[in-house]
Amino acid sequence: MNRMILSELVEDLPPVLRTGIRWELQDDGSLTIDVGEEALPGIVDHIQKKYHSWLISEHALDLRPKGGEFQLIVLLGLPKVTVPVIIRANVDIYASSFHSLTPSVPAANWFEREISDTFGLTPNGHPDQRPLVLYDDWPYGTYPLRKDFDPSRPVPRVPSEYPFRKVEGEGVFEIPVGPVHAGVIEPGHFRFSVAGEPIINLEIRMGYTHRGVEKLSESLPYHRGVPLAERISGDNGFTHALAYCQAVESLAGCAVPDRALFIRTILSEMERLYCHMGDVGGIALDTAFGTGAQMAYILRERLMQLNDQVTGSRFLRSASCLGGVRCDIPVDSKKDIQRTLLQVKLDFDDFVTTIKNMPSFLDRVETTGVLTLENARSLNVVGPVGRGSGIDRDVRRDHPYAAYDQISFQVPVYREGDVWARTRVKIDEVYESIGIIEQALDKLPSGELCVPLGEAPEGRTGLSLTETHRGECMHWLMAGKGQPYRHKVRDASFLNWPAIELAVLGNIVPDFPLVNKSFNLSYAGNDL
Amino acid sequence: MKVTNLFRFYRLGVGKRGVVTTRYPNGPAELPAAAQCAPELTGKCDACGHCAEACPTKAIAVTTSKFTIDLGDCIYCGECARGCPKGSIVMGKNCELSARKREGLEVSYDVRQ
Amino acid sequence: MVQDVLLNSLFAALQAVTMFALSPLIIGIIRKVKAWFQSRKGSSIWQPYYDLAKLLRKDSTMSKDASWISRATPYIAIASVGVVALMVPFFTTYSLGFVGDLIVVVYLLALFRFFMVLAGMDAGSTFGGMGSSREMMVSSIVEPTMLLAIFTMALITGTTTLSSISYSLAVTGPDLVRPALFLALAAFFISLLAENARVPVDNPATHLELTMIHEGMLLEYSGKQLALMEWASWTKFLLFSAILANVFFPWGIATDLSALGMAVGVIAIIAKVLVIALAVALIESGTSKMRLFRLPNLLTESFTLALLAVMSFYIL
Repeated sequence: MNRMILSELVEDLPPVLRTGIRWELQDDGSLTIDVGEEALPGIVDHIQKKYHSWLISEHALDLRPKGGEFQLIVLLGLPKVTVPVIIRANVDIYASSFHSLTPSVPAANWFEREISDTFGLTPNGHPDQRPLVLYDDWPYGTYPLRKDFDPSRPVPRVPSEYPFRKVEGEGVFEIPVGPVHAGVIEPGHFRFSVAGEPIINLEIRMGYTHRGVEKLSESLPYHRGVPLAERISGDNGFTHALAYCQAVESLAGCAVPDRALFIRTILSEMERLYCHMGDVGGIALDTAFGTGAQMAYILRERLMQLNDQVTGSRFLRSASCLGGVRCDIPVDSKKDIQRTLLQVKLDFDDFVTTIKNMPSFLDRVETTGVLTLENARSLNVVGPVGRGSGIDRDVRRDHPYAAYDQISFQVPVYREGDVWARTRVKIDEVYESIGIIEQALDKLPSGELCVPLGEAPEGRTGLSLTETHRGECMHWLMAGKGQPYRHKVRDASFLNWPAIELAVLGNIVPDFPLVNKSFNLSYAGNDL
Repeated sequence: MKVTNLFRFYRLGVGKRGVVTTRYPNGPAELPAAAQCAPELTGKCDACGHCAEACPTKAIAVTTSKFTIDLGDCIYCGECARGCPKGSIVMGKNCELSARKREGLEVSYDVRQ
Repeated sequence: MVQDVLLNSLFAALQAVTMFALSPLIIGIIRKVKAWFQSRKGSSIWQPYYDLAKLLRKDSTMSKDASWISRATPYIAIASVGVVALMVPFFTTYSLGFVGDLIVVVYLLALFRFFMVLAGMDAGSTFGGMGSSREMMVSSIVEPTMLLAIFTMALITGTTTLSSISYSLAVTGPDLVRPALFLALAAFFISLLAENARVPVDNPATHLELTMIHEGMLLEYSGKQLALMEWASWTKFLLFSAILANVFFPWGIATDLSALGMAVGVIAIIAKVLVIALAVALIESGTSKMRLFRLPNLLTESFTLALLAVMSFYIL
């Protein structure tokens, strides 16, 4: 299936685009196309228009120490194909610029600004060339992901100010919010332009928790990358670590034992469960319905204690390792999980009936913060946010990993795109997750937990996609000497943040926290 | 929509479930049996330094007379416990780890051969 | 005559002191009941006192852009609430009613609000300005509602002095009960929620600056000044409860100086205030906050109720 569609895709390229490209179908069925940098926008645009592809990632790597140039990697997802299309293009060292995809693929916007920040490659034709991920006072000409950047030396700081979009007119006010917020949340700056209460423009400025995860990972041996990946984003540590482990395993060609695959599935879903509980509880709390919020938070606490009971960590930390999993699910843990989930399901029913029967709550969430399908598609919004806007995509079903291909489950999709649709997606996913865990526990095979990783040949690349509770999470690795040569992480939040700017338009300022909560994006996962 | 559902939450609050808040500061902290807190040195140690090597954050320092772990750097991953050839390091059950000063987070054990 | 004035002043002072002393407790009780509905243990009902004590020990920090308005507002707030407390009957109808009638009461509270709104904008912070503009939007409808609702009672009893309204209702008994009373009661209760920043109008427990109304204006205050503002707001809630209890259902309030009457009065008002606090806690536990632009609907409903109350007085 994969091979058929992909080879047809290459055959179908119009002659103008086909000249000068080299393509290759890999063993796993994925397609790699090498193109000239100037042909990249044309090919991506063609595939997008013809095959409705979406942009998984666009990132760069610095091959100069290997005697090469800079390289751009564009990963495209295709409907009905379980492996991505990989397009590579070399960028000349002296020109240090490339043709931007953003005019035809809006989702590439932040990716290209990130490349421009971290590699110093200018996206020609990009409509917005302001910095994105680095601090405002980062000196010009210092590009941290280039191989000649030395991370051990402090970087001098140059005071400067970020130029925000200006909205002017009679009665238009700017409301700066953050990066320091009330309450225990992460730092991010929101610049509203409002006319009275209605929002006419929102600009989100991120990067305040940029820690240099990708650079750090390039200096760590593979097994040290696991605790690092667990800490990329606080609440989906297990799924991030899983994505990293899978990527490394694909580098080394390591076959993970069956039992470990099932345990990975179970733990991923346990993570999704407690995160979703917190999310739906947060929605209730932000409408000032504290009673309902606490109902969900009690369940979240119970699930986290279950995590603690099963793995020794409330956040499922240290449960994953390369080549398998670290923690087993023995019979008594299995009983614990089954018993707790039964109780959680009953209590969650209570919560759902309560909020679904509450006019004052529904009035707040319905028609609030609508993200249209068109906007969601063009920005390639992923996860429950995308499914709330009608994008029927889920990595667990479309690119099965762990043991998901042996388990049946539904992917809930709603079309309204408002806060309530996103909340309902999460509510439905809670039930699906419980179902997945029950099935996986029943089918749990016996066997080994973990196998030795083996050797990862230098220069090989590995890609892994997982579905966190926020959506598709990607880890892309290029092997170096016992450690990654380049490690690209893309959290779901990175794709979803720009969508908030569109979803809040026309809403009123006091509804923004609710819209933001319904997206519930990670700041740390975005900033890396 | 049933009218009775409108008032569900009144039944679901304290009336049904009682108070779920734990008694923690007034009573003992209730941890699940498998909970892992800070690493503790419980058995013999011959200062081989495997734990210090295994630690991803370099929170452990071992000399011939002292085993010191800095809980301010520790991420409670358990690598040291797995890395100890004698199995002397265990992930403890003490979750009350706060200190008034930064130095208070450094816990030292005498190395017993 | 002089004796009367002295007696009234004595009781007025006593009642005002009681109200200031009790108001944190009422807030503590509301929080406790809400916590119970959330299956939480909740903080102690004495917590607001601890908060006050803590804040009063601390220094205040002022924005360098703040003018004298920010500095004066806490004192204006506590003073205006204090004067109102002198004029509102609590456990007895002996109070400084002859100093000013209900119009003075309503506009003293408006003075409080006016300065709080100014102070919200004074420091030049965004959230303060937003809180102020929203507060003005809410109060522009709440204020006439409140006036009309109490006017209904004034019409029924033929006097505009709060203590006299209580007194005439209390001594006359159920003869004066009319449909208008209940309509006005409902209108006044909604005003109580709106004026005191309770759910569904505002969320007193939120940390989201963008949704704040009342809290938004207080964001710039700290230490002693915050303590005064909070205490004034809490006492305002008790004042509204007292007006609700004593103007609409004054039965039980002490109308003479007998020890028995006083004792009954104290018990009656405590019971009534607790019932109101419980009602507020129930509403807060069972509803979400309304959308900001739906608030005018709720508030105009309450205004309509108040208007109907006045009209029904003449028609029925």
